[in-house]
Amino acid sequence: MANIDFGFKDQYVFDVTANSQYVIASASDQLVRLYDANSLQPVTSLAFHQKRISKMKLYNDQYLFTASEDGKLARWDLRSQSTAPAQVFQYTRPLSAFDVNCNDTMAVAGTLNEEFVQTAELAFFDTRQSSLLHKFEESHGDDVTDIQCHPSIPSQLISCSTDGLVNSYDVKDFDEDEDILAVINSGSSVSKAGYFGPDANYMFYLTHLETFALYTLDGDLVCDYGQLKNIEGVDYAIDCLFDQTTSRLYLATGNNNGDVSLFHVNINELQRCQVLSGGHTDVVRSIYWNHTSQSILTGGEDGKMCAWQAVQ
Amino acid sequence: MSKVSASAVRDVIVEIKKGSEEKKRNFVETVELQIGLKNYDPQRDKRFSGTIKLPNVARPNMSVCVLGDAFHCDQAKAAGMEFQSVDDLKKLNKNKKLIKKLAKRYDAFVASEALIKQIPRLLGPGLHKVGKFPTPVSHAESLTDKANEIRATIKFQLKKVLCLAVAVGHVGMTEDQLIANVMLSVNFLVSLLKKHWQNVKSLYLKSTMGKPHRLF
Repeated sequence: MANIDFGFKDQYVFDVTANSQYVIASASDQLVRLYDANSLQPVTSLAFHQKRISKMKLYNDQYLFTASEDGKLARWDLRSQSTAPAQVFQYTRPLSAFDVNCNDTMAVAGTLNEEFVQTAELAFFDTRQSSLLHKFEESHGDDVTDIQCHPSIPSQLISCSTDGLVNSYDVKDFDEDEDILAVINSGSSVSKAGYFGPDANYMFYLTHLETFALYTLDGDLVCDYGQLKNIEGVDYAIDCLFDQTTSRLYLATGNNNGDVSLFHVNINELQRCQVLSGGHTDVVRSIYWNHTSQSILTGGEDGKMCAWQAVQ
Repeated sequence: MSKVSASAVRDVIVEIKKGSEEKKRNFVETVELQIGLKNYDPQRDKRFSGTIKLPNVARPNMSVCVLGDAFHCDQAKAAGMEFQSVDDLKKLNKNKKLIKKLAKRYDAFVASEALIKQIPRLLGPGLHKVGKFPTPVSHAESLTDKANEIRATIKFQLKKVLCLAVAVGHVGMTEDQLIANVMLSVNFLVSLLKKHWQNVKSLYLKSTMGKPHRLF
């Protein structure tokens, strides 16, 4: 386990990811930092966003995306030497979630619900032209917290919100009245949702109250794991990750001391398969797991990014 | 260990009820818990958002409409509850004005499990923005119990300021009922904070028109 300490003891690491060249972290100082994947030495920082970076995702080995409450969604070309974004999508509201579809033709961003506007929006952008294609203004009544595009169908996506809903859509024609395929009401406030399954026929959601459930895309309950804090050593969920190659679903959790517990998600059972301890000393906010190399990255509120090797 | 005792809460509730009696209003005052936070940064700490199911109904006047299959429509009728059948919803023809009217007429909806999957097709996103997407109910569950469960559930979300206000009851409830609601809310909300009581700066309880009373 290697430990990358930013030295900014009072910053939080928000999201972590990696491609073949770099290990990458976004932090609460609005910077995205790139480190050499082999030596873990700092390479450069990307300074662009003026407000909180709500999400950072790696799209493929070449492109990284960041979205911010400054209303911008930026595409970064990791193969170029530039420290400026390769493309910027500008929106009029703070962005709290986003994703880019499987064939890189559309980017979808979700916004915060602001008091004076009283609505949260989903903005659809054409990635070939950086232009706004459409927006949905009725699908969520509060902050959009996560968006995931379908792994193989370019027009389908899932969004979730603090309003408690997980919506799945097919936006072939951008008709908000017709495009919602299914809705799941968690009864709470949803922090993350996404597809899983070899054919992406299922979805999971995690709530801010630390509950976890699996559903079919049609909206039938598969399993409700209830309150994750009831599990010994678990204070919160970090993320739910699907390994396409083995068709295994994993739940990453953490505790307030910084220990990470990884679980196999089986029907009616969460089976702890690995514990990552001795790295973080505070809440862990993100995890990146490369199932091919079995390397894991975690980032947290202690201002650290840790690199781990997963056991087989 | 909770930093707030039931007896301390009782003293405050007695005061609040007294205050509410002394200056009677022409509506039933809500009792509200106000939590002031510290050592918490809404810009970077994890979101503080969700729902709490209270032991006693906090909003008895909340109107709940049943979107029911045949079984639930019959049950609703027998229980004197308002309801809409699949056919009633189909008759709306996805007309946005009519759907908006339906959404405005009730505070919340429950829908038969069999029906809930048809809601997007029948009503589009009409109930989403106003936060009234139905809660599912199965044939095994009692409709009145489900409706009361909804009336006893409150949402909370901390946004930009370090103060959270949560409705925990009303002045018409008994002392015991109010105490139970307050204790559960306080302990539940504190348990969600990373540093628990170290994240709490203050706790106040008040009725809508009354003055705040400090609990912590």
